[in-house]
Amino acid sequence: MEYNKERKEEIENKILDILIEGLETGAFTTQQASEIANFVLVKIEVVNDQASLVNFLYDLSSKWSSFVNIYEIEDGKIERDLEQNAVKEALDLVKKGEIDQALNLAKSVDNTE
Amino acid sequence: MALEAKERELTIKSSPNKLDSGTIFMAEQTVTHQPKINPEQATAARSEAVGRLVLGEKKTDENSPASVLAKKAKEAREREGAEAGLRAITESDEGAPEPFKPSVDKAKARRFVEGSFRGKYDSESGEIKRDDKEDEAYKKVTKAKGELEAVIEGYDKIPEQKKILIRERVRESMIKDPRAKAVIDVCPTRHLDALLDEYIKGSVAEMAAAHSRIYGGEPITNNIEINQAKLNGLIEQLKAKKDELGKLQNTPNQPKSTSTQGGASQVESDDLPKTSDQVKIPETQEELDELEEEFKLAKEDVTTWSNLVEKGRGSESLQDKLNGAIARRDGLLSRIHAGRRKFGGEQASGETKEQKISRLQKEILKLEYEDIPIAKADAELAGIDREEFLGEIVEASEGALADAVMARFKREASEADGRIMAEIEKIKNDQTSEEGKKAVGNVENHFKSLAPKRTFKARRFFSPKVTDEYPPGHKAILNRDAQVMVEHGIDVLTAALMEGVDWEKTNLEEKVKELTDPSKKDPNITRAQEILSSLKPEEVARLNDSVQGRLMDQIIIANGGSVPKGMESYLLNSPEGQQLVEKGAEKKGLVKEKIWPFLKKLKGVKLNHFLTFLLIAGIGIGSEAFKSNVMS
Repeated sequence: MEYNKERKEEIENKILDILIEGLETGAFTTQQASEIANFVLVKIEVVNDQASLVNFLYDLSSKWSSFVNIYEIEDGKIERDLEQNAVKEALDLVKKGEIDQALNLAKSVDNTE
Repeated sequence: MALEAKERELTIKSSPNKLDSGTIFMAEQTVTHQPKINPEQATAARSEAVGRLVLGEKKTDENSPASVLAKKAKEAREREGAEAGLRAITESDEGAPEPFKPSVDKAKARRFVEGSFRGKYDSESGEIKRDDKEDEAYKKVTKAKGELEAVIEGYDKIPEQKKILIRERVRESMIKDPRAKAVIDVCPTRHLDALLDEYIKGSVAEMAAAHSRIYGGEPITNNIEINQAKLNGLIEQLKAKKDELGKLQNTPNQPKSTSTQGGASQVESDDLPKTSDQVKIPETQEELDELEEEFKLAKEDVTTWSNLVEKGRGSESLQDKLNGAIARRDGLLSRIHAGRRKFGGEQASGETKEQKISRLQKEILKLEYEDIPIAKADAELAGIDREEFLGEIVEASEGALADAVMARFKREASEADGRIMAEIEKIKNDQTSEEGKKAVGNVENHFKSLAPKRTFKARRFFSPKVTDEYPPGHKAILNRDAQVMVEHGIDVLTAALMEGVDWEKTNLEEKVKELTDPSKKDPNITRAQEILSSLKPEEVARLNDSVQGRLMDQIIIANGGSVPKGMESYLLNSPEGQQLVEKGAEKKGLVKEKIWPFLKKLKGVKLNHFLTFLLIAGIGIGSEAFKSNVMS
């Protein structure tokens, strides 16, 4: 998955949604929200790919658990990409009758982190 | 910062309005660990938590600073985008809390800290008196000082490149230990830095405390309240003593027992000889009493000779006599002071005003230049957030740090296992049914066979930082493998269903039975799909792999072991399936992210199911592999 300006905007929007909701519901004080926004603005600048994005979100969600969902979703996207590729390859193998290879590939998908 | 941080912490923990996944997980625990569900209790907890998290029922006043800031952020976003919205929040009028500005003289505090390492802090001069004999110790202290400087400065401020080097050094040391190596090898890359940082930070703080203990200072406790209370107590003492001294000094003096002629000393002087080796300290109380009597006589002698000296107008012999009398009187006084300290009678009623003034002055000096700076230093350091306790690690200490990290790892690994087993034991004891106990027993057996990989993953849930943020419910979900504890299924399904089911209108147990009833195929699938589709993204994301996996397994089991029609496209992620899913999602206003959990489920699916998906999708039925796997 490519990381570009649009993705950055997308992530910032998601984080901002949570911040705004938190302010409106009283979950965050203005000071907390300010601290979080500062953290995000600083850290997101060094993000340049999906992996570092996930690292950033991990740090964010470790400090403030309200963001753990964004982290899990983005983390899952990396895994999804891997799985999609594996599924496609396995299908191709099975179509060719290479069942053993398909099984091995399926096993490798099953055993990865 | 000490008090502000503590107040903030307490506020966070007690605030009912905080977006609190803790309550949700607490409710999860209620369900997960109690097969016999109390619908009313779970309903109340769940509805409240979901309502707070999802619906945001409790709104702040529109004119409150928080609401105003939220509005400001929205407007900024509309004008210039998300980043502008975030910046608007950072520019809150209320501003960030003022950083803690300790009132302590940092230079003094550091000198004290140095003094703990280097030698003796001299309260009179305010300087460190280094013991030249301890050169070796001094070298160690220099290194320790660097580490303690690091503690004060803040590890997070280290440039990233330096941190990379430090982590690498530590990692190289850790992989020499097979167990540590196993952990590091299987640790996902994105978590490895955090793992190493955690070890480094903890080790540095420990080293600082250890060095402090070794070299004579008291260990720096992180207990803000204790340190602050101690400091406050000392400040009160100082004030009281100064008040007392002031009163004494303002009351009329007793007639001076000395004259002002040449060399006469003042009894009230604070230059009284200190108790030293040359002062003969009385051995017994009786001896002290005799000295007191002699002192009275000696004072009279001084008075007598003073008068004679005045009348004699400069007679050398008289002056000599007077000097001798004064010396004897002062000598006796020193011995009496020493004796009183020895026998605890310093503040006995027999203490003269001059003695009391002298004592108070010495005590005030000690408080001002020794006790209070020490306490202030402790309070300042304790008030610093743990994260700031770390710092720049000088080149010379990296090797020692690596050793310390390894020692810490080994100790923690053993402790973690012990904690995890204790936690499992506790969970087992909480079970009210034999079925539940058996389920947890399975987990226990499984965990005992876990490789270090699992220990690491499980340990993450038990580290102090994680357990502070993750409530007890999460402790039960040790890791994917340990989730065998939910093999008995119903608890997890219940937890899963709780995410999307309208609690107030349904009975959860009935819904679970309905879903898992093999005689009802299509309704199961439809209902399962409906439930999962109704989940909001944040709720879906919080379902763990096993929950989703188990739910899908149940659907498949309910369908006689095969993938239900209509589900293949989701699972196989075919373009048609994707389109259907996306269309369906658009129709329902759902976001795409809701679908990925189905794909994620592939990870947790047993091999036979996965293969089943592939083959039923039209590849071919009849292959040996299929038969052997499906039949297994």
